[in-house]
Amino acid sequence: MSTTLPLLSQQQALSDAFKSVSSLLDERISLKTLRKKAWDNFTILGFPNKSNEEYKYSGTEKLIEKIECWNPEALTTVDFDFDKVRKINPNAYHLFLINGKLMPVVSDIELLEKECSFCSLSQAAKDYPEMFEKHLGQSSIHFQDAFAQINLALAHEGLFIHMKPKQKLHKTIQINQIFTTETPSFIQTHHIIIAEALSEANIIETYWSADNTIFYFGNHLTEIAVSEQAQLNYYRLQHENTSAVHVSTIQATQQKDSHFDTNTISIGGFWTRNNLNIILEGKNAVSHLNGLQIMSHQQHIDNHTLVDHEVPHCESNQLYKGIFNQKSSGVFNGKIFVRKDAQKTNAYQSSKNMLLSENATINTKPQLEIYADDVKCSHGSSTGKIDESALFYLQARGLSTDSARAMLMCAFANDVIQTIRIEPFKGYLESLIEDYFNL
Amino acid sequence: MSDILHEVTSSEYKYGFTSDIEMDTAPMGLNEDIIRFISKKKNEPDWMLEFRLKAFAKWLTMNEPRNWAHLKYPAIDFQKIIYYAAPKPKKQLNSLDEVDPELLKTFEKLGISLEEQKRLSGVSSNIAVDAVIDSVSVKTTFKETLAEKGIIFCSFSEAVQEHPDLVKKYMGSVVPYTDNFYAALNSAVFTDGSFCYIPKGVRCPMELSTYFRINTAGTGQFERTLIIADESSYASYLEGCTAPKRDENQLHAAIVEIIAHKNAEVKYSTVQNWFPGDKNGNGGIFNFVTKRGICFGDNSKISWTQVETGSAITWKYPSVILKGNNSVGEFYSVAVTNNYQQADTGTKMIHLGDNTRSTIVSKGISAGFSNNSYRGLVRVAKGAKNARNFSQCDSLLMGDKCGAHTFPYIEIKDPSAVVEHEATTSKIGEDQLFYCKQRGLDTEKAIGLIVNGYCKEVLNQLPMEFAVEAQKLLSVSLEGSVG
Amino acid sequence: MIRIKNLRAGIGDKEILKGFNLEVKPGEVHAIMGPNGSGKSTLANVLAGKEDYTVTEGEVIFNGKDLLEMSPEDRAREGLFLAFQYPIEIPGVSNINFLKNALSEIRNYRGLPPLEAKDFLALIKEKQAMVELQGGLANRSVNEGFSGGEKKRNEIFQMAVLEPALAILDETDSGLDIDALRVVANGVNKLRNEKRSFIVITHYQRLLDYIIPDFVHVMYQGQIVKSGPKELALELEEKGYDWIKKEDESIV
Repeated sequence: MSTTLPLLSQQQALSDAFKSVSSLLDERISLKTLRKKAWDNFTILGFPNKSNEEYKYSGTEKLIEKIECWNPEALTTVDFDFDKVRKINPNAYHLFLINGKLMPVVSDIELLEKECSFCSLSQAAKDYPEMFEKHLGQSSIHFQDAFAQINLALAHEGLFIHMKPKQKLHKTIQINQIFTTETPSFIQTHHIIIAEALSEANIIETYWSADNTIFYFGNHLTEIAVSEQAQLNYYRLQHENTSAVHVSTIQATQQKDSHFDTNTISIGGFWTRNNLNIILEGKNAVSHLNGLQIMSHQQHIDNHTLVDHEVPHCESNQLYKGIFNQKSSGVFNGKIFVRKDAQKTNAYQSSKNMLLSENATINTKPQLEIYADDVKCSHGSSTGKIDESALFYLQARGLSTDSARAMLMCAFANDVIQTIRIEPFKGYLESLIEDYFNL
Repeated sequence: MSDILHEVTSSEYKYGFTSDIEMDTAPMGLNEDIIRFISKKKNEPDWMLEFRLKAFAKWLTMNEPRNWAHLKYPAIDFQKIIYYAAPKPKKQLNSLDEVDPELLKTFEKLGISLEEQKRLSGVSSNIAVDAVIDSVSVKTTFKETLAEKGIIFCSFSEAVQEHPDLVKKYMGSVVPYTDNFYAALNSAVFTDGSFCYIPKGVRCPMELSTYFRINTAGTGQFERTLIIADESSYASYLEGCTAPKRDENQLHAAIVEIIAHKNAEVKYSTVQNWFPGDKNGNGGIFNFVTKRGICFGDNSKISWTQVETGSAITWKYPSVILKGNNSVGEFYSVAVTNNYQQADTGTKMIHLGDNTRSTIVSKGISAGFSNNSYRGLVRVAKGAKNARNFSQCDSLLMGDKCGAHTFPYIEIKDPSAVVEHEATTSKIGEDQLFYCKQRGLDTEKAIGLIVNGYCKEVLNQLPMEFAVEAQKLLSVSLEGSVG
Repeated sequence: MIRIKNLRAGIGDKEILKGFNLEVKPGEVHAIMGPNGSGKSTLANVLAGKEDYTVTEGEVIFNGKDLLEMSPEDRAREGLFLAFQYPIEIPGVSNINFLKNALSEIRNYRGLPPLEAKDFLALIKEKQAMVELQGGLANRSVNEGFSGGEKKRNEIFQMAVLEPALAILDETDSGLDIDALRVVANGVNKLRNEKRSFIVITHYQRLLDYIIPDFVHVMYQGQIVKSGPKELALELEEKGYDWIKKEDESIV
């Protein structure tokens, strides 16, 4: 695998950051070893450029060059309209994070604490050492991606959420991440979410920038463990400013009879890369992976999904849709991997895209890699323009061209929105998209 | 059609014999001297030697591509290959009587008669054959008949001598020697191949065919084929290939270039049956081929059809560059892998002109311990208006030790494009097998029938004689794959 | 023709046929009726040799040979034909080609040469007319894109071409409208003769208005619980299967 090592000046800064984090974190020796291993992995991989097959359409070297600070100091306050975000889903436990650090004053900590174990990532290392160690980095360390590795090595801000067996959360947990910085910084967050057997939870995560123009490079890792018969719905809204860089990796494992639903709605960001890796480790596990991207101007988004069917009788479904306007560009790379013994696998994947401008680009690579013979796997990918006959039909019924187009765009996006099971959030997204297209 | 299945009696590779023909070979290894040796042997003009040397210089700077294809094989030692082997005596053949009788026998065994009279009276008439053994073309049939229509069909070496302007103009214009590692290697050391030119407005009256045969141990085969279809012309071209059974791997690295001018159409069909190695994965051909056509003029069409059952390793992506407006590219493929074979094959459709259309139908069948990958690229360039592509990639798995993979790349830079890709992977249905058995068919026959049905869309694209051969091959390749 | 003695079979640990007995003589038509889940289709599939089922006890003698020892294809070649309840689609394989292969195999097994192309085509034409199958269907891929009625008709057409000694019709009437049912039944009736036997499996009496059976058996919980002449079917229709169930329970 060919790589770019960070620029020389930055290499030193990065090493310094790693040293200071290592000495700062009061963690067990085994965790220190894990972080060191991740660091070593990272130094071998380097930040990926376009000669890396996985980053063929999304080289990172130019973005990395802009970073001046690798380990920004923690903040405690920010000028932000918290109510605006609360309104998305008033009936939820809201947690606000500034650059990954929990802001207790504006968050519903006490209410949530009554329902489940939760705390900051660094606190979890002290309060729940066994569980923390069992989950931190266990599957991510094997994911040969530079961003996951550097996150494991360096990130120490984020949340730890633990649902006990049979626990059913009464309300949705909504994690709202706000980012701000004065110097161009590399901001990393890391969550661990554990859903024990038979538990049920809805989690929404939203991403915002504190102002409209600042550049920062966010690199986020979420590790999720869904135990037997548990159901976890995890939805994300990426709504940062159009200067922000956002890399996120979700590393989820699923046990027997578990359900995991995820939906990633991306509207903001200058450059976004989402890695979504789901490992189906127990029979009869079911996953739904959905995503919607609406991009314009020079925005770029790259969604990589990997569903690893390790055992028989599991099911995975994917639907990713994208709308690209102006000079925006998109990538969808989805891989379904069916291991030798994973018989009776059902895996479906669909990627649909619409290009609205002469200068927009979409690259898709839906892949199947299959080593078991008794499976049903399929993928479909289509790219096209707006359906002219539908447009004409609407115009013939008296709609203006613009509103007819907007209506068709909303309809195209709607399939993905409809998979969301949290009513107020779904309604919010519907109106967000209508507003986006001025409907 | 299904009678073919009855003829199949053994799963042995039936073309695995060797022929005892006296050969003139170059010393093993590769360096500038070898290239000069080849060029001199072929009495080539200076410009040809220069082309070879430039390609060689480029090749030295390139690395063997080992990362992206879904293939595993030992590194090839390019110094352990003989780059030139020709049957002796090497002289101008004026009639068939002068061809080594042993050589004639070889082709008879392969079911290819080089005697025009025989072919005319036989069942499979109307195919002009260029027979290439190891490095050189030994005989081209029907040359005179074709010449009456102004069609040039000859060996590549002869074209270099007789039609240097055409060769200079088109060689490397579709696959430049810088294209990839194996294209550079081929450009440096290629020894022969076929050349074909169809003049304006001519519809080629018979199928043109090249038959490739690797014979000598330790040699590589590096041929190149150049087909030029001038305005409003049509040609259908067939390519077949076999090799003896040997324990070692042999390298085949060919180039095929097709140029279709305005309103021209070229149909290129391949039945690839190089020795696939034995049941334990020993031996077999490493097949690294660059095939590409350009629809240069408006309304032109290039169609690739391939049935791939041979080779230990197949690395091959017949492509079409759709430059002319309203041009059409097609790719129909059946790739079968059994035992320890590995195939990474597919196509590239590059849409540049307006209103271009491409169709991809790929059927992969994996059995035994094999791995079978489809890898394809559909690219719509910015400003290429109203491009259309439809791709269908199906994989069939037989047994639980094999793998079937699909890696499509879709790159779209124009909003007027409509591109659709569908892929499925499934196994031969137990229900289908039981249904066939209940009607009296045994397992092997049932599989043959179901597989041929599954591949029908592709087989239908083949000219008749080839379709029959291809169906036979499919059944033979899969024998013993379901216990 | 066929003698089934104390047949026990099932899928995995689940026993479905629990000591099934039946004897069919040449030229006889036996109807087997029964409620859903009584094991009717299992019987058809076990006789045809479907691998999913395991036979744990009993014997089946077909034309003097041990049927259970034979592979599914040899059972077919011996003259056992199953008209499937859900005929299977085989994309890309034309009906004609399929039948030509099947017929050649069966003839080969009996030491006969394959039919000449001309004779085969004449045979196809004749049988097509017999089951009122449109010419187009014979050239289309096996069952692909056929309507439910066309599929069933195609089964009867195949039966007509292969001329079996014993035909088992597994719920051939299910999903058919009255016209299609009449066509299918007419086809069967034309194939009836003193040598050929039929086992007609059905849930409803209606089919038996058109194919008049010599015997009617009622199957329940993997066994025949009642046998009688053709009138038994009418009685069943009138009283419903609950009657049998109650009677059966009272015996227990």
